[in-house]
Amino acid sequence: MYRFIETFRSAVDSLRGHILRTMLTMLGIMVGVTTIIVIVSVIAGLDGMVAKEFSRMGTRVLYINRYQWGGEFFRRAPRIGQKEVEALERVGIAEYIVPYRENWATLSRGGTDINGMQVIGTSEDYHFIREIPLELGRFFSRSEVDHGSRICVIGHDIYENLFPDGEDPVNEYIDIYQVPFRVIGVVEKQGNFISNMSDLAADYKVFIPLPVSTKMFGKWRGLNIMVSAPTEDMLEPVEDECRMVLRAVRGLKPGAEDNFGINSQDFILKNFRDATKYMWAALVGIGALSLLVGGIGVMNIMLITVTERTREIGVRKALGAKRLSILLQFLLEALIVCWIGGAIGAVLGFLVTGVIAAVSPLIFVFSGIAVGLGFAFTSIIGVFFGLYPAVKAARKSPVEALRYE
Amino acid sequence: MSGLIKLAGVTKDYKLGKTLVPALRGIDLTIDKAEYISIMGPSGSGKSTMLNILGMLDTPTSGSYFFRGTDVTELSDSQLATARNREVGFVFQTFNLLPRATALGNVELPLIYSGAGRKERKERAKQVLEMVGLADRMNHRPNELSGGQRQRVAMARALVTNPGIILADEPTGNLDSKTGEEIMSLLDELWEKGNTIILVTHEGFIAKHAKRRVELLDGHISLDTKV
Repeated sequence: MYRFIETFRSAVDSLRGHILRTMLTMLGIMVGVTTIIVIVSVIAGLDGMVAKEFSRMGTRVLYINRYQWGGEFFRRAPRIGQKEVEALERVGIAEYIVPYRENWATLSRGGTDINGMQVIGTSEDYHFIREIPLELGRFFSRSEVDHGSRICVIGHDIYENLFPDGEDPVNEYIDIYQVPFRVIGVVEKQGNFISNMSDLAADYKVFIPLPVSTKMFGKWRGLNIMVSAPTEDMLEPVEDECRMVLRAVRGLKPGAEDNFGINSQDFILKNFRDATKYMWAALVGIGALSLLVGGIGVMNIMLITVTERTREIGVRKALGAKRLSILLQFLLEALIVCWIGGAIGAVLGFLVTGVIAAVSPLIFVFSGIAVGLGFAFTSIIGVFFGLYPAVKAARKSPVEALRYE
Repeated sequence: MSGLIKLAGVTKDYKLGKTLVPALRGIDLTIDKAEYISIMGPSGSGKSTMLNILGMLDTPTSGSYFFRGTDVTELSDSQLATARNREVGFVFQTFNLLPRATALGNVELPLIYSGAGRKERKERAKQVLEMVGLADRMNHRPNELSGGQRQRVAMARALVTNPGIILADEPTGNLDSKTGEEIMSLLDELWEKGNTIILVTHEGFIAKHAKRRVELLDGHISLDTKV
């Protein structure tokens, strides 16, 4: 340990003797580490953002659909209907059972039409399960659903399009599929670039009572059912019970495949992660490549240093330095360059990530993994590329080294 | 007096392309403790080879080299390093100081390799620097010192581990004659204090300081005489 401190000291000394060269060598490592940290942090941030986005679907909500998401689509499966809803209502440990039907229609008000808006017919409990904070008005009530009132809650972008002057929409009428509906609420702006693409935000949706939707659009689209568990831990037992109940009501024999799908946000998140992991790996690979280039720079400089200091090596050997001391000295020099470069790179990396997070919806994640990876990588690079020059130094014959001009 | 150094039948061949060039062709030499010996010879006589072997920087092709009764030819690379550290103090013609280290740092270097503690090292290094008359130059770097002062630092460095021999290779070769004389009288002084000194030179008036003269010619000892 003691000898190590001396070696360290002399390594630092000789690096300080060539400050410009040392800094230029560090630059390569620095850029590499910055790249890796930015990439890993951006990935972590994107993943966090996506996870948060999907969590809007509710982390304790099961989606009972005709098909399993990501499963085989053209399998024979009956539509989900009232029979299944009633059966699921017997699942005692579930919190809410919310059926809904999705259709698409043109909305209009005054002379303005907007095409292809998603019309969700559902029950009053929908907004207890899905995160639908209202900006104006309220969601519909049980009795309004039961009475089949022609009322609606509209998404924020629909509101902006149909009420361009910003007038109070509550109690105003809009036409859905040419049928007038009274607006009773507006959902807060939710979207960002992911949710707009993935249909998760309510900005382009309009909510109406389920019986009205059934009457207007018919039953051919079938129902979807959201079932919520009281806690996230209860999600699995609830899923098991739902499956049992649904299999019973569909009269499936033991061993027969489910002819319905039970999905959750966890499931899509997993699919998403599966689909993107190779891309992430490739990006990290690119970062690693730039670190590799930096490492080659280190080796290059260390080889020059070793040649330049041949005489010093000879002197040290004459004075009693063993091969190991010489090896450690030059290896440490390479490592110190890598570590300092890595540390500066890490700081820069987090600064860059911070800036990216500030100007984009990306969530800033201080990734300990990135720091660990960066440190491990630079150490490996330092040893890998520093070893060859150091061994070369250590193996020099003292006689020849002393004679070197 | 049993020999401190005993060379018997030492030869050394160098490969020059495909041919073997004999540099030493059978050297028998005994050096006792506290001797002051000069090794002389024209260039190509094997002087440098002899110095490298005596200094344990190189090993003979054949023959034996006993240092304090230990056969140096049997030692491993790492044991040779330790032996050099403990037993040989080198003084080179070109001083060979580390340019970025201070005088004190340079003198401490052998003690770092012998694993001495920091405090002990500093004390010992200061002590020998005082002895060579550089008490007021300890924190100067080599480029802030004159040639004579540099060689004094090198001599302090050679002395600091209390080695069995001091090997001085043309110690005055890069100095003017006045400074050279000063260095030589310092070397004389060290001998008077009981050090064993081996002086390699090709200049007769430098060699005169030694008490025994060995002359090499074509890899043989051509003369070995007390002065």
